[in-house]
Amino acid sequence: MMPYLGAIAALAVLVLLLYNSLVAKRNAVENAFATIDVYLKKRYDLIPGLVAVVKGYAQHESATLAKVAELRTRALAGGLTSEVRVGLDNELSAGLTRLLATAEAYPELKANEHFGQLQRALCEIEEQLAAARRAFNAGVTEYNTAIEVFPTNLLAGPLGFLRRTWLATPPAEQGPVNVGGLLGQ
Amino acid sequence: MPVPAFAPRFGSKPAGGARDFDGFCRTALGPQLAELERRRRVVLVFIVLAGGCALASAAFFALAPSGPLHGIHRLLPLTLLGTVVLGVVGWWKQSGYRRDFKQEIMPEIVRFVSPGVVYSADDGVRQSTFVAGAIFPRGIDRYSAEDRVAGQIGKTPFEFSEVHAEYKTESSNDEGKRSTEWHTIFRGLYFVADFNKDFRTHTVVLPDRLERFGFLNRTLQKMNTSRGQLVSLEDPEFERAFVVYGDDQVEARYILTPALMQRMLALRSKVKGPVFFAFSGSAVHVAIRSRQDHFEPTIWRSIRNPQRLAECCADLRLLIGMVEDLDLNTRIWTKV
Repeated sequence: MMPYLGAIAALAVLVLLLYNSLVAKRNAVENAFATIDVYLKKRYDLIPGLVAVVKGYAQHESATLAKVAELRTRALAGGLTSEVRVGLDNELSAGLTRLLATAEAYPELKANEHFGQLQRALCEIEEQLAAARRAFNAGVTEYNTAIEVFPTNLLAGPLGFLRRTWLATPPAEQGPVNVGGLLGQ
Repeated sequence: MPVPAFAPRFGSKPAGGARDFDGFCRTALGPQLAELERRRRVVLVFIVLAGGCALASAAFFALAPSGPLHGIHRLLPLTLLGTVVLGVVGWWKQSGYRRDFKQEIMPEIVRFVSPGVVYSADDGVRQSTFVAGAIFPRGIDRYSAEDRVAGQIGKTPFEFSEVHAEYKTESSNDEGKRSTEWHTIFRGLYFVADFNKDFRTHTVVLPDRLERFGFLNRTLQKMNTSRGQLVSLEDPEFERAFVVYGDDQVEARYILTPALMQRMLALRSKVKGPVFFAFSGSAVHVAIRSRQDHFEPTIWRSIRNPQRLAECCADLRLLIGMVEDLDLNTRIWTKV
């Protein structure tokens, strides 16, 4: 009798430990996703300032400026699916990269201190975003592995742990950067 | 006690400046090197004579009052006295020779390698800085540091020195006699520089010693919870060479970009030995384990030996060059 109870208790403890590890991994993924959101929000906050500064010096870039402002408004409006949101953010990244590159053609803009600070702040946010995305993908890898290997795969299905997808770079961004194209040459 | 020779540890020739350095040694340093060479020979003479007296003492003692050389043992007090006196004078002169090399020659070599960078023989990286890096978290009972080089390359202030940190274990034997044993925590070169990004948490990059265990590797590394969370990065070559622990997964990746990981791998192949990194307090710490004494003259070889001085120069170039090797002067983020 006792050995059977002991075995059942040991099994229960094992199941508990495995369940906890799955929960921890899932939460790590959610945490990384939330961190991405934090930095995206920081980026949205910087955009009005950037648009205002560039408008003063780079009259020919009004089309890019308008596009960036519009993308920001749509992203902040909310009510978007995750895929649409990610697509918007990728377009916004491309627009911002183009804007910052065009500063090369306007020496007065380049010399503007406020623009310099915004450039640095945006660069930092892009770096943090990249780090958060990498952390998210690493978390997803670990989580997906955990729900597929034995013995945790026995628990994952019944307990509702579903596979997550990675954040992929859109095909347009995967190629080498055409700096000439960005600078309108 | 004669100190070891210059460490040919890093072995590489000074990049592109070999002839310049030779010329520099001959012209700017010529007179001082000549004088030091003369003093080295004097020290050598004293040490050889002291050694000779010691051998003679041993021989006389062994021969004793009996045997064919009867009576010669009466010279024993003389040879013993000779050993002691010659040994003490030799040691004293050797210290002077070593001190003058460090005060006259080393600052010039450092200035040649990088003007504006300062050498100080008796200073070193502070113990608090070493502890803040937390590469070697063991409690330190004895800490010594010397040969400090400090300055600024571009926008990056840096310093490095030789460091020797030890801990002790005390034991008492059956009769209650206590004995203390010293163990080395770290001995080698320790480099600290201001990092080009601001960060709050602590990340450490250690050589991956468990690689040979294959798939068990990560499981074993994860069990080391004293170091923080295990951070698994994307670069497979980097993952083979290093294991990363950090307090925050995102910040660890903010610091360790793919570009920086490649640079760290390149630095590791340059150094050809165990290299440890830590990122703490918005600074980068690099520890290079080395059993030999660096930046020390030897009495057994000529001080004017160009190869030896060139190796000293190469070691300095490697360490000062770490600022550029890690691209610390690229300051395009909010930290200027």
